[in-house]
Amino acid sequence: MKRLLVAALLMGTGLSATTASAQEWPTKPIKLVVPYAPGGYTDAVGRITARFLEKELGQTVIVDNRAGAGGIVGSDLVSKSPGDGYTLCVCSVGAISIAPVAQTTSYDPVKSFKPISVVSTIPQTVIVNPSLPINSMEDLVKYAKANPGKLTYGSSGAGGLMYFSVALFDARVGTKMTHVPFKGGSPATAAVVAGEVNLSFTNMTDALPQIEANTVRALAVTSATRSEFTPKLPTVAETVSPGYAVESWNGVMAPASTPDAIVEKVSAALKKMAADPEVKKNMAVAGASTVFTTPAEYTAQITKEVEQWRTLLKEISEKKT
Amino acid sequence: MMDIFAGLGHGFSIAATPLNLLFCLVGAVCGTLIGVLPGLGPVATISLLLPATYALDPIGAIIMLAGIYYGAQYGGSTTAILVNIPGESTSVVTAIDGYKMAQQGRAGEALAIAAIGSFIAGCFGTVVIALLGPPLALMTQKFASPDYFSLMVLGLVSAVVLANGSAFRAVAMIFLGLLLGMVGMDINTGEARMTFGLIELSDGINFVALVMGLFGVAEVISNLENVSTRIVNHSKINSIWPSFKVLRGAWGAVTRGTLLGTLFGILPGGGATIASFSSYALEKRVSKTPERFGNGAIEGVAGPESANNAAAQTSFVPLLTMGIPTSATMALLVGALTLHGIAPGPTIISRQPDLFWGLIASMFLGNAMLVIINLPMIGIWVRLLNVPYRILYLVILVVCAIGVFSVNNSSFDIYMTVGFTALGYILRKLDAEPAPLLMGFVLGPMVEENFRRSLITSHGDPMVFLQRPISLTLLLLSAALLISIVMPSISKRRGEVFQE
Amino acid sequence: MKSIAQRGNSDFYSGLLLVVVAVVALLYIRTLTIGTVLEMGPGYFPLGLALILLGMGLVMIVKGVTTEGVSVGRLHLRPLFFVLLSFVAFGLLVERAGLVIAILVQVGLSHFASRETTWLASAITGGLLAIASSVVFVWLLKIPVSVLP
Repeated sequence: MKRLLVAALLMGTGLSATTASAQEWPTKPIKLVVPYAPGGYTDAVGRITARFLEKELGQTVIVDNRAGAGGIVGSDLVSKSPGDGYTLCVCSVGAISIAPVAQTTSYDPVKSFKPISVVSTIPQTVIVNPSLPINSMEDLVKYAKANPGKLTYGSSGAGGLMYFSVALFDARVGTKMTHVPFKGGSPATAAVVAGEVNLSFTNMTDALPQIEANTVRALAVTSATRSEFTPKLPTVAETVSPGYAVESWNGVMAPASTPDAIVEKVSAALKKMAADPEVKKNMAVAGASTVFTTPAEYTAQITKEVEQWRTLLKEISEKKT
Repeated sequence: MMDIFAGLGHGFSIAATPLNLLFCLVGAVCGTLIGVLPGLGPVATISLLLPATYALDPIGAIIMLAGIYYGAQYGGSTTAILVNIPGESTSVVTAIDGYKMAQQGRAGEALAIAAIGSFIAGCFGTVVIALLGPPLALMTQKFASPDYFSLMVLGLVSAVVLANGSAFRAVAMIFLGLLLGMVGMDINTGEARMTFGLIELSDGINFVALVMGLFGVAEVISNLENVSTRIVNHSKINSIWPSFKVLRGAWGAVTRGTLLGTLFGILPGGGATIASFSSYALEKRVSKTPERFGNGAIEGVAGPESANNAAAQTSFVPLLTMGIPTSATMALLVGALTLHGIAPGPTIISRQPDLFWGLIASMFLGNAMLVIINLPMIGIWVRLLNVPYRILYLVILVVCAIGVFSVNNSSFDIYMTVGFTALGYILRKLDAEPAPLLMGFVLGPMVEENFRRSLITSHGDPMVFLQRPISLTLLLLSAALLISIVMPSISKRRGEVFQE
Repeated sequence: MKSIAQRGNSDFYSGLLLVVVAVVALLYIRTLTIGTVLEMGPGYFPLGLALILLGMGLVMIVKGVTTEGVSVGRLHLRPLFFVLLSFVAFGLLVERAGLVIAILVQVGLSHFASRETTWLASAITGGLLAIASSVVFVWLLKIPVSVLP
C-alpha cells in the first residue's frame, strides 16, 4: 500500500514536472545524438543542426557521437532515453528505414520514436569507371544483361543503403550484378576510381568531387527528382526504372514519449532552419539539400520506405530459394 | 620543379602569417599533450576540438587540426616509453624497447631519439608530399585487394619477428589476435559474428579498450606486484641526451624507418601500422646483435618512431591529391574541411592552392616546432618517473579510464578494458607477448576483407594473388622473411638434438 | 601474498587458455554459414582461425605435460582485484553520477591495490585528478559527461 502511494506520488510529480518543463523547455543543455563517427556526412549535418538549434533555442546543444553498427547503437540509445526533450538525434535512413527490416533491432522505426523533421536529403549517384563502354543508364542495363554477374559494384557493406539501392535496381530492371562490399562508402568510391570495381551507387558527397575531376563517369541520380548539384544528370526513374527512388536522409527524431509541445517547438525551429541561407550553404557543401517536413509527413515517409525494403528483401529471399 | 618551389614559397607566405603560426603552434602543443594522455588519440581529440575551429578560417583550422594529428605522433611515443601504454597501434612496437630503456634509466635517451627520428621522418615525408604527391597517389591506385592481402601477410609475418621468445608462441598470439579481430559484423553479409548478442560489439572490439587493457592497466598491476623491479635507477636518469655513439647507432634505423614509413604511409588502412611493425622487424633482422632487441635496443625505438611519423605525413597524400580519406583521422579532416565549405577532391591542388601549399608549409614549421617543444620537455617527462609510483599509478588508471570512455562515450568499452586487463595479466604470467596479438588483431579484419574481395572481383580465381606483380612481390618477400625466421630455429633445434 | 598456481608450467596453461578461447569461439561460430574457399561465408575465416588455435593449444598442452618448462609466475590477486573493481565502478558511475564522483570512487578503490599508498596522498591525488580532469576533459575537450550528478 505504502509502495503504491509512493509510486502514485512519484508519478504525479513526474507528470506535472514534464508538463511544466514542456512549456519552459529548454532549461538545460540539449544532447543531440549523432549515431555515426565524427567527420562523416551525418556528423556534418548534425553539427550544422546543433549550431542552428543552439542559436534558435538559446540553450547549449551538445553533439554526442555514438557510433556503432551502422547507426543502430546510437539510434537504440535515443529510443530508450527519457522523452524530456533533452535527448534528440540526427538519425539517418540506414538505421531507421533499413536496419529494422534487414536485421533485428530492439527499436521499431515508427513506434519507438517521434520523428520531428527531415533536415537534409542527399541523392545517390550512379558512377561507373570511365574505362567502361557505358555512357548512360540504358547502356548500363544493356551491358549488365549481356554479361550477367560480370559487372561488380562497390558498397559500404551488406545492409547499407549503397547495397540496397543496387539490389532494388537489380530487382526492378532484371539485371544481376556482383556485390563487392567495402568498409565504408569512401573506400567503395575510391575502388570505382581505381577500377577495382565497375560501378557504385555513391552518395553525392563522395561522388561530386570525383565527377567534377572526371575520375568517374556519372550516369544518373537515384532520387525521385534531379539534384540541384547535377542538374544535367537524369534520374534513374526517368531513364530505365520508372518509380525508382532512393534517397539518403537525415532527420531529427525524439524518443517516443516526448511531449507534443516540445516536438512542436523543435519543429518550428527546424522550419526556420530550412529557410536559413547560411545553413543551406553549409549543407550544400556537404552535397546535401536542406529540407523541412512536418512530423506527420516524416512518419509517413519512414513507413513507406520500410515497406519498400521489406518487399525487396522478400523478393530477394524468394529468388534464392 | 619550379612550380613546386613557387608553390612552397606561396605556402610559406600563408603558413608564416602570425595567426597561422599560432594555429600551428596550438595544434602541435595540443597534439603533443593529447598524445601523452593515454587513450586519448588524435581521432578523439580532433573530433572533440572540431567545433572549436568553426570560428577560424578554413586554412587556419586545417593547419591546427593537422598539427594535432602529427603532434600526437610525437606525444604518443612518450607514454609508450615511460609507462608502456601505446596510445595507438603505431606506437605499440615503440613500447617494446622504449619501455625497457626507461626501466634501465635511459628514458631520456629513448625520448630524445624518438623526437629526433620523428623530426627527420616528418620533414622527409613532407618533402615527399610536395614533390611526389600526385604521382604517388596514382601509384596507390594500382594497389587492389589482392595486393593489400599480400601486404597484410607480410605484416603478419613480420609480427613473428617482434617476439623475443619462441616463434611458436608468437604465432599462437597472432592467431589469437586474428580471431579477436573477427568479432563484429561481417561486411559481406551483415551477420553478427561472435558478438555474444551484444550490439556494442557489432563494430568489433574497441582497439583502445584492448590496448589499454593488455598493455597499460595490466602493466600497472604487474608493477604493483613487483615492488622491487620497477624502481628506476635514479642515478642514471639525468643523462637525458643520447651520446654521439648512440646517435650514430640509431642513424641507420632512422633512415630505414623513414623510407619504410614514407612508402607504406601512402597506402590506406594499415599502412602506418605495418610501417612501424616492419621497421622493427627490419632493424632486428639487419642488426648484428638481434638479442638486444626486447632488452632496450635504441634501434627498436628509432626505426618504428621514424616510420610512424613519416607515415603520418604521407598519409595525407591520398586525401590531398585524390580527396580520398584513408583513415579515421583523415576522414575527420575531410569532415572538418566540409564544415568549412571546402569539398576535398582530386581538384584540391588546382582549386585550393592556398590550402594545399599552406598546409604543406605548415607541416615543416609544425615539425620544427614539435622538436623544439619536445626536446626540452623530455627533462620534465623523465622527472615524472620520479613521482612515487603509489601516486603515479592512480593518475595512470584514471586517465586510462577517461581515455577509453571518450573514444565512443561508452561505459561498455570500460568493461571491455576490464576483461582485456585480466587477459593481459594472464598472458604476462604465462610469458606470452601481447605485441604479436595486437598485430593480428589490427590486420585480421583487413586480411579477411581483402582476401574475400579479391576472390569476388576475380570471380573466384585464387591465382589472382600470384598473377599481380605487386602481390607476387609482397608474397615472395613474406616467404623469404618466414624462411629466415624458421631456419635458425630449425638449425638450433638440430643443435640441441646433437647435444643430447 | 600466497601464490596460487605452483603446479604445471606456462606451456600447459598457455595451451589451456588457447583451447578455452577456441572452444568458446567455436560455440559461437556454429550458427554461421561456412561456405567454401571460393564462396566464403561469414564463418569461414573464424572457423579456420579457431581450429588452428585449438590445434596450437593442444600442442602446447602436450608439450607442457611432457616437458619441464618455465613455471607460471606467482599470482597476486589483490592489485588485480582492486584495479579491475575500480574500473567497473568508474564505468558504472561516470554517466550516472558524473565525472568527479566516478574519479573519486575509482581512486578510492584502486587505493587498496597497493600496499604503499597512504590515505592522505591518495585523497589529494584523487581531488586534484577530479579537478584537472573536469577542466581538461569536460571544459576544454567537451566530452559529453556531466561533472557533478
